[in-house]
Amino acid sequence: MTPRLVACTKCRAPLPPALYNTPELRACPACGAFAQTEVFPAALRPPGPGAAAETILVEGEASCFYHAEKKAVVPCESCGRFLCALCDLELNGAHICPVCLKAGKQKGKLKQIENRRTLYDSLALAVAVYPMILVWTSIIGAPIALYIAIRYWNAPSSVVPRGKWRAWLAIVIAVLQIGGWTAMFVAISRS
Amino acid sequence: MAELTAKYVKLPGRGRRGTAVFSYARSRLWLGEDHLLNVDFTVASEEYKRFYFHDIEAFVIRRTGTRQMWNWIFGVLLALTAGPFFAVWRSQGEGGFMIAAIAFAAFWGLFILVNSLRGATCQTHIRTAVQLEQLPSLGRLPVARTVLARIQPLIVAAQGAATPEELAGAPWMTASAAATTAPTPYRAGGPKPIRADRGKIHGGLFGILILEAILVGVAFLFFDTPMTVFSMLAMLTGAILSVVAVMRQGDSDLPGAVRKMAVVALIYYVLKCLIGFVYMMVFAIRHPGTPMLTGLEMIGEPGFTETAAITAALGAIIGLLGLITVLGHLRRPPAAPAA
Repeated sequence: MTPRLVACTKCRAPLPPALYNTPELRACPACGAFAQTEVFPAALRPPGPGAAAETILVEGEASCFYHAEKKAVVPCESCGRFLCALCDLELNGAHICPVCLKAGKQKGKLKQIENRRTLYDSLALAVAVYPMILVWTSIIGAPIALYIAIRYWNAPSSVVPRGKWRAWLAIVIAVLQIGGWTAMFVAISRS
Repeated sequence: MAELTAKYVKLPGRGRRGTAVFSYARSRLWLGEDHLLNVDFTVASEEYKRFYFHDIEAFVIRRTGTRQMWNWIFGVLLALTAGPFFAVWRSQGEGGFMIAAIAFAAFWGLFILVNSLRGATCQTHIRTAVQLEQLPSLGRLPVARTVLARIQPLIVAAQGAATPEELAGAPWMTASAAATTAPTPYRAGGPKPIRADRGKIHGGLFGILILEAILVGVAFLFFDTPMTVFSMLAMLTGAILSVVAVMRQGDSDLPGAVRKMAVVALIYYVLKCLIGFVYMMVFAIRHPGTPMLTGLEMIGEPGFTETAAITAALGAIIGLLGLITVLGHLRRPPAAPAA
């Protein structure tokens, strides 16, 4: 098997294997850019063959829920439907079907495949702080920031560790703004 | 469906995704149980990219010239802002202009210092079978090497050793295959020292510190203007040498004591500059219009002579201790050149 060569990230020219796994930076023969290239055993291995589902040969054998002519090999651990080797998706040791995988991703229940999250605490803080630049816009921004911070207090936050201080700060800033505007309007109305 | 939880540990380094001028996301790298997680943070959302250890084929760290570019920009800004004030001070001798020149020089100089001390800039890419992805958080060479040293054993452990057939097809894999049984070749927290250094710059720095202390002593004892100028030149040389020494010692084989003394010398120069700046400001406020050319004008200021004597003595002690550590390093036999 001929391993796929690693390319220079500047000129895209293939780097000769002599430059791999050296402790110091080496110059690319094509463009002269200095780089350290660490290559791991995965680069040598061909991608594994895709699972092929077996066709049912004996009548009465359990069949796949999605492919009636294919033999079931495992039940989905989420919905219990029988799955053939083609439909069996393994995620961290759990066997689930494509429908449950899609549903889990959409509902944000599968952290392992989630690729985007809205951070409501940051949103609340942004809505509380940015309108202050134009001063008057904070009349609208402060109540919205307060609403977002309270409404989404228990919403899932980042998948990496993250504190609640942004939400607290947004609430404090929004309350101060609302208090300030209220005091100003009261003072104006009295004068 | 049970929620699959993952625990993450923050890895060093932070960067921005986008161009040098316009960036649209802050980027950080986290270490999971079986994968790396790249997090791109925009105003109110995060985007995640996972790189599982068993999928990672290669890690490419390419040095870039961004650090030099920023140092040039800061240097030009320093010259443009401090230069005019310095020129006016040279022609009129007004202390206030000198203070303004030093303030601007210190401001931009601090940017240059921090940018230089953070290490060379680089671009780091990670390759799997289906993607080549840049990791913006690993934008400095020391950080990228530290992270690589940390994840390398995890990747090799997840992928297993290469088989003899695989090794026959790719002899460069020997090092990685050996890493499955031997510990990582990098020391924890930083890259492996690879450059033999006899400590010439460090020796020069510590020598300058002692020389400067002697010159200051002579200048103040005999009220000698040329000696003051020489001591200022020595201070400038020492300050530059301390920055160069700290920058270069990262990938050298210098012992820890020498490295620490170089850092102490750098801190000493920063503090000395700050103290000198404060005295100049006080002098300019107390004696408006009085020319200040050598520093000897400030001898009458309360506490100035004592402060100068203490800092000179401190410099001499740092220089002496530093020289002792460098001499100790020189007595060791030189390391055999790498095969």
